[in-house]
Amino acid sequence: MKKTFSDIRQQLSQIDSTKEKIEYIWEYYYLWIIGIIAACCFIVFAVNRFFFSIKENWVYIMFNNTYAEVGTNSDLWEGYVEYTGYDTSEKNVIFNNASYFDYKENVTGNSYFESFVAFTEAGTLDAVTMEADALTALGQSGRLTDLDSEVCASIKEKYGDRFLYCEPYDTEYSTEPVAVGIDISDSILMTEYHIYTDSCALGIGAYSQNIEAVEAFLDYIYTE
Amino acid sequence: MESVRTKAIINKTIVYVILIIMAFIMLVPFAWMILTALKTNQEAISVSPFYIFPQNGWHWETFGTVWKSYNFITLYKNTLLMIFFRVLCACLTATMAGYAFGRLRFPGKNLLFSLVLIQMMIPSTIFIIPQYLMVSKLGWLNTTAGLVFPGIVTAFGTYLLKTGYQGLPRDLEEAAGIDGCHIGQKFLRIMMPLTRSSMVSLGIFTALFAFKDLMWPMIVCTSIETTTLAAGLAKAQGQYSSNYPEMMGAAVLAIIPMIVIYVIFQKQFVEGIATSGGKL
Amino acid sequence: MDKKQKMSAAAKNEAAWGYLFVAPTIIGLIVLNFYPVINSIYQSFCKTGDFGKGNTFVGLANYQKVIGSAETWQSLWNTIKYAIIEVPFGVIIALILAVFLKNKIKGVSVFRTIFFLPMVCAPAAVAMVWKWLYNQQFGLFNNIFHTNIAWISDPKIAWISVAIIGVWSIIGYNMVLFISGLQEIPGDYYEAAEIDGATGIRQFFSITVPLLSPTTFFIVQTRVIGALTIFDLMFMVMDRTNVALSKVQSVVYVFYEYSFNQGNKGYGAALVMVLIVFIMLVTLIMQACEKKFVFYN
Repeated sequence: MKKTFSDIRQQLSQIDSTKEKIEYIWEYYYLWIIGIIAACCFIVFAVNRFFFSIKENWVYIMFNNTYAEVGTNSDLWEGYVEYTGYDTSEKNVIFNNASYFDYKENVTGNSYFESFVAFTEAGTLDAVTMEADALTALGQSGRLTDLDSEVCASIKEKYGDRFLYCEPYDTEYSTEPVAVGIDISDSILMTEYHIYTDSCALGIGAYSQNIEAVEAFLDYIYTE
Repeated sequence: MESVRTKAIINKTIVYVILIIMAFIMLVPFAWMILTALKTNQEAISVSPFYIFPQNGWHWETFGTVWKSYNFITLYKNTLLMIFFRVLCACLTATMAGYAFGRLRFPGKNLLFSLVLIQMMIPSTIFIIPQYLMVSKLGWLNTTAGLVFPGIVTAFGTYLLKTGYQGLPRDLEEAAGIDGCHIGQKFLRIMMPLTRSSMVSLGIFTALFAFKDLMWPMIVCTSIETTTLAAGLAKAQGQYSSNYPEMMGAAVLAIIPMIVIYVIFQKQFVEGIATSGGKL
Repeated sequence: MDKKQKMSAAAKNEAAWGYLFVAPTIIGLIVLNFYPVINSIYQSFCKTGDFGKGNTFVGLANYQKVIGSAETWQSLWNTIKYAIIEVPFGVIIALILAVFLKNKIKGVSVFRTIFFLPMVCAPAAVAMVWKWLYNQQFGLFNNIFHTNIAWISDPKIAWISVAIIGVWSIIGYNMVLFISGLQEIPGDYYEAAEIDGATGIRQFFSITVPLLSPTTFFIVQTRVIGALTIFDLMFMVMDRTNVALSKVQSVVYVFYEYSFNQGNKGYGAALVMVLIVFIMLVTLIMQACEKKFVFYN
């Protein structure tokens, strides 16, 4: 007949030596024991990671629609790290130049756009650059920070005259054009790295946590 | 006797004709991929006089160029690692859950099973961002663990295996119960080997979904060193690159391991008959 | 009452094993899938905060908009129409192929591999081929049939064209599942039928169909869910400017447009919730039918 808990308990009481008892339990419950131990290990690991070893980014900047060498570890990246003095062993500075989408065209099913959205909504993405008209089109979706808001006050002070505006889809937010981009067509990105041919604009991710780092980036591309 | 024979031959011919026609329909995109890879870019993008075959010579060297320009060895390795672990995890968790749902009685079974069904109804785009946050908190960005993460459990596989276990005859299990096996042993030694065919198809599908998944590797593994074939090729090519022959050449090279995996798996179907068929 | 409260020791034992076996899957599903869904449900009651502004709670406003919108019902109807074509044709063709491939004929492996190929092909290649086939001027279909049909931009037939691609791309999936189900039918049933003189077609209806019914039900159930959440076919061959798009787009496509492209997550989430409720109703009906039509030995 099938073994049940009470059967096993009864049988256990008949066994005298501890070693045999353990062997008996092991034989019947090894699946349980392995499963529970594995689960416990994972929980300890996950809790540990969640609370004690969070390695965030200093900044995450996406250079969209460019084939120029401006990714992580490029000259631009090294110049920026040197300029800001960020310790890259502590947190990361990420420049992503492998992304291609144009919001003016069809972006449905474009996985670059999907990852842009994921990075933005997760708060990972701090800034994105692309052609000026593409950026203002993208701004309509509300995925870029309103540069007139308080968190961007010091950026507005320095670069307010370069702001680009768009009319949002969400008319409840504002019926007036919203500032979503900064025109950086005359910065070293264009003059030295030639990342775009016509114009270049920078927008800040809606949930960015590192706006000072983006400001430092703007300062950096205008120092020389 | 003669007429039976001719009938059999006619039947067989009909079967072959249908199979060949279907095979032809199914082969079109694959053939198109290979033919495009052999064309010049000019030919490949022209639609108005559509050339089926390359007009200016067969450019076999495209494959060589592509092989050199992408780091295929790394991409193969990453993809196969992800597929291996996803198949392992999916088969393990799904076969256990499938057995419980298909064979055991416990309170709340229907409620828990409805969770499995509901998971399949939700568009997967909803999961992506929270899962990305979890992986990033766990510090698994740019690792195989991060790639495998959403594939640890599978609702589809659980349902598939549940169907597999339900199809097995009752008396089998009862015979095992008389022998004094407990449920865990019964599951491991008797029931699990009998659902081999279902496990094989789960393996095929898990491998296929993992292979085709583009969005997850693109988000989780941003570096070309750790990413998979699908994402690696997409990243290297860029959305606006219009070199169709190279794109298709790379795509053809990318699907070779998948075809090999499929051929290996589907051989297991054939063996399944010999080991478990007949005497159930 | 007494029976319910006191389970027998054997039943308790069975339940404990049951919970142990489903635990990894259920915990995984809750963490990986249902926690995000709860987040979405919450969002569906909120107006999405754009430009970095937080969400604001608006109660049922999103649902009112979704239910009041003609687009929602049109897209739901499009999705149902798509499923009505894709599921039966995909299942029947795949079943026939699987039965053919179970026979001992030469080249089984080759055929099985060929039928599997469409699933691994690059989506870009598949899209290009179908766009070419459907092209009004240079397309193969119009050239062969000497017609001048706008296959994917005529609102009256575009949904059928899209559904044909759906059937084509799903045959391989269904076939693999059918082959696996066919392996589990004991061979001696067929031997016995052969001795009785039953022909291939008789065998098919008297043995294969009933014994394969659990697999068939599984495929139909998962394909109905899959077809009702279809998404990628729509953008694969149709441009955003296509006039027929509103008569073809599925619910998930509309959800994607709002949620991803326009950043209106609240509305998108509400739309998905409506879809999920609809699919759940369909599933409940199907599960009720399961007991009637499906044969378990």
